[in-house]
Amino acid sequence: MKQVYIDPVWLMHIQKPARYIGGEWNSVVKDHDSVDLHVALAFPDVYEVAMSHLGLKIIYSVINKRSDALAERVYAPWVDMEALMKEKQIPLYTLESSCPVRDFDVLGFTLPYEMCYTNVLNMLHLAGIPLRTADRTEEDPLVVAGGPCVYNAEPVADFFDLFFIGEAEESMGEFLETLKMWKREGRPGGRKEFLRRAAHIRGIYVPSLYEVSYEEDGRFRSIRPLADEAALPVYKRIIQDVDHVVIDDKPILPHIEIVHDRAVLEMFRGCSRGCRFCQAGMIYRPVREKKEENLQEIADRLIRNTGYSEISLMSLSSADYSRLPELVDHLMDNFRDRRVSVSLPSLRVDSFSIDIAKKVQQVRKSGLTLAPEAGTQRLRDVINKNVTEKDIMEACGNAFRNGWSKVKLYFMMGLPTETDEDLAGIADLANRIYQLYHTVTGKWGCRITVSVASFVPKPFTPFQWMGQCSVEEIERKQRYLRGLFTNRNIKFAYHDAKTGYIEAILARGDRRLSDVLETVWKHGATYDSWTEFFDFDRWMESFRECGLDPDFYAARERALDEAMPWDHIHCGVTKDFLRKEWRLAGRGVTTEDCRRHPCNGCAVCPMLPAVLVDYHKENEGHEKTVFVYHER
Amino acid sequence: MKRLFLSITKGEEIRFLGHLDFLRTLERAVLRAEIPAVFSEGFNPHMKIALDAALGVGVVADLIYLELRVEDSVSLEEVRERLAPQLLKGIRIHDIREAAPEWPKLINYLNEDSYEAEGPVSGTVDEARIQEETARFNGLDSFVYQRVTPKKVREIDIMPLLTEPVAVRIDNGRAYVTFSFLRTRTGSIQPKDIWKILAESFHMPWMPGEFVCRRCGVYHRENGVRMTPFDEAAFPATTQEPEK
Repeated sequence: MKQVYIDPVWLMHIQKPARYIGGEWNSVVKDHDSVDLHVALAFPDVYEVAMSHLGLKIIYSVINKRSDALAERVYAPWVDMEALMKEKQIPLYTLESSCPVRDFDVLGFTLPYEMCYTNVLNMLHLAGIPLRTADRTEEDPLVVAGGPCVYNAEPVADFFDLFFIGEAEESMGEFLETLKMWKREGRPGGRKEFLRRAAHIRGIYVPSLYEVSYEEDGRFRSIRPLADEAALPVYKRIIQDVDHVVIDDKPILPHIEIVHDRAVLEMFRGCSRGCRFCQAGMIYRPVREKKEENLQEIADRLIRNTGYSEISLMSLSSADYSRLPELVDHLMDNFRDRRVSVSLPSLRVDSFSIDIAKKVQQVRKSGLTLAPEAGTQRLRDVINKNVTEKDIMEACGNAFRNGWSKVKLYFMMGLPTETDEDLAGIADLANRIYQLYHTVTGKWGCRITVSVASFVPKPFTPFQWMGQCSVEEIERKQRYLRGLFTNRNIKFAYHDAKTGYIEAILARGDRRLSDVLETVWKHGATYDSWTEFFDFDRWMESFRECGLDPDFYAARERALDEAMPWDHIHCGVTKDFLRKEWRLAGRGVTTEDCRRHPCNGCAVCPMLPAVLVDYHKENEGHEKTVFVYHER
Repeated sequence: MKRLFLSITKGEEIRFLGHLDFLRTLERAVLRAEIPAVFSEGFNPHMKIALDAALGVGVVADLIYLELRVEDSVSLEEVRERLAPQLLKGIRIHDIREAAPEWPKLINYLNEDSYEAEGPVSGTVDEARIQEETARFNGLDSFVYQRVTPKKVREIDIMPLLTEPVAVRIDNGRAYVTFSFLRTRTGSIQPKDIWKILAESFHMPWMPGEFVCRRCGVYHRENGVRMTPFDEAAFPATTQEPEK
């Protein structure tokens, strides 16, 4: 393969040129001629964000462990580098070999958030690959994607040849085998034939093999397979035995400081708490824990292979790992003399979590982050955040007694049934925590940050039917709430409502949005998840140009029997279950976590099929009775 | 506790690592190598490791000196054997020696840097004129350069700082400029200054800022004689200041 030429002098004018040079410790450089399959793995954001992403690292390991394939990385160039690449006509290239992405067999993106879509188009353009599948030739790589956004990939369906739904450690292997065979046979039938073959693989969704139709009023009507190979629905893939799956125990060490610059230990997958706003809680089910002994061993390897001095215990809700106290004790013992610290990224709001946090932050108390999500118990019940006022106050009291004086509280606004009373509850809760610090320590001066995001309804959640709160209403709520914070020790921060609005459109959009995406990108949109680059008016103008009403996607409350553009993708949780949860939300009735309580009938276990793996002592050896909830 | 001096290379592969990134890379290599390095005390212990100078982003070095403190239990050979396989492509160990406690810190000992700057030529290249202008520059007793930073404007007479004549060579569309200058406590010149002065005041066929740099040497210069921390005569006990 030919390599791109970059004069080092050119990079002298670029911010952080180490983003573009490759050669990091643990990066894998293989001879291109020695393997059959060449995969470029892309993350549609800048190096520091991209290098922090665990999913792509795992897939990188899965592919590079094979002797017949190589995987190399490519990230979105920052705007200055993009300008240089255009000026010097440098095509998008991979970090490992500096080979143009266009020369690879496969270009695989991860789609972590909707606001990265314009960066995907920009990267395809910089690579010299036609944006739309329909325009690609036999010379172009297969453009594929995975990640959370592929559960409703319809807005970008026209830009991708196929999607990996769910956990791809195994399906990637099957995909590569299929590709190798097809290449070996002399590429019979061209890429269309390959896509038909790939569609046989469970978990792979080939959008060009389906036809969509819409009602006269613009609502989505149906999706229909055009080929026998196209499954309906397409079930997500999961790894049942998480203890024996490929892990990335030799993570690439970044050249420069990145967002999460530490070793990452994934303790379990899935979360069954059932928060009704949370997409991850639905699409990553069921919970599958790794064995504690296995985690200790992986942690040891991670530190030996990297030289990192911090290891983060990561999962959707880390404090829920059933053997967390033992794991933390063992890691602290093992790492004490090696100066490796252990960190927990997300804490549950309860006293138990504080006890664990106390263990890992023995010396410096850097600050606690808790997520009550809503200001009143009524609203917390609506969203099924099974946290009580008592839990919050006990957690904070425990933290203050143990030396913490900084607390960060995460909330959302624009939740279903929310009133100003619920918003006032946020300020009230923050004030009471402030008072609690004084009661516990006898001192004033506790520093509290209240961060309030605007809620974006996501597909595959019980809130997928709701109309999003308008930008004007969110901004009014922000002003109202700001007026309630009079204590200067309590800092109030909120997110941009307009970004949340575009995110909501893309999250629940259909294939017609591909025109809007292409238009807005042509008007210069990239890095939309970065405040300094996001231009709301440009988006609105693009909707007008394409004749689409953004409110139709974001603000409209959908009928419970309405077909959804993502109905052909199955994450295991049924629509009936989500509907039931949506109704319970309206009545403020909570649903218990099925992990240590009876099954709620979400269907993920019998449907996939899958088994919940929980090493909590009381649960061991008991087979759980599960069922599928059906509505009449 | 042992005090070690290592001479290593910062090569082309890691040209664009800044000083702190390069240092972090070395620290992690030491940790992977499981070398018993010494750490500072306190809540936030740091590895006792230091480089002879903070090389900028985009500067490679034929040699850069590293000071590392390790426990007595480890030998020099063990350090070399364990560290070498843990180093990134572009970093090589040349030499390693134990330093006496009274020897000065490298950053205080070394006072002269030699560089080669390289960049594309632009416009017409008149070799004779280039050599003439180079000779004119080298013949000056004084050249006051105004360095403008976001915070202040400083005037520096660069000629007393230059230790060797500047040389310019053109090869295959690229200009190569070699020069050596003294480090001073009050702020020295930088390679970009020389490159800019030659372009703007001596009509050299290149653009200011359009270059990369290689540090070809770093020395202790005394009475016109150059020494490196690895020369036998580098630290005669009687002439050295105690470590500060």
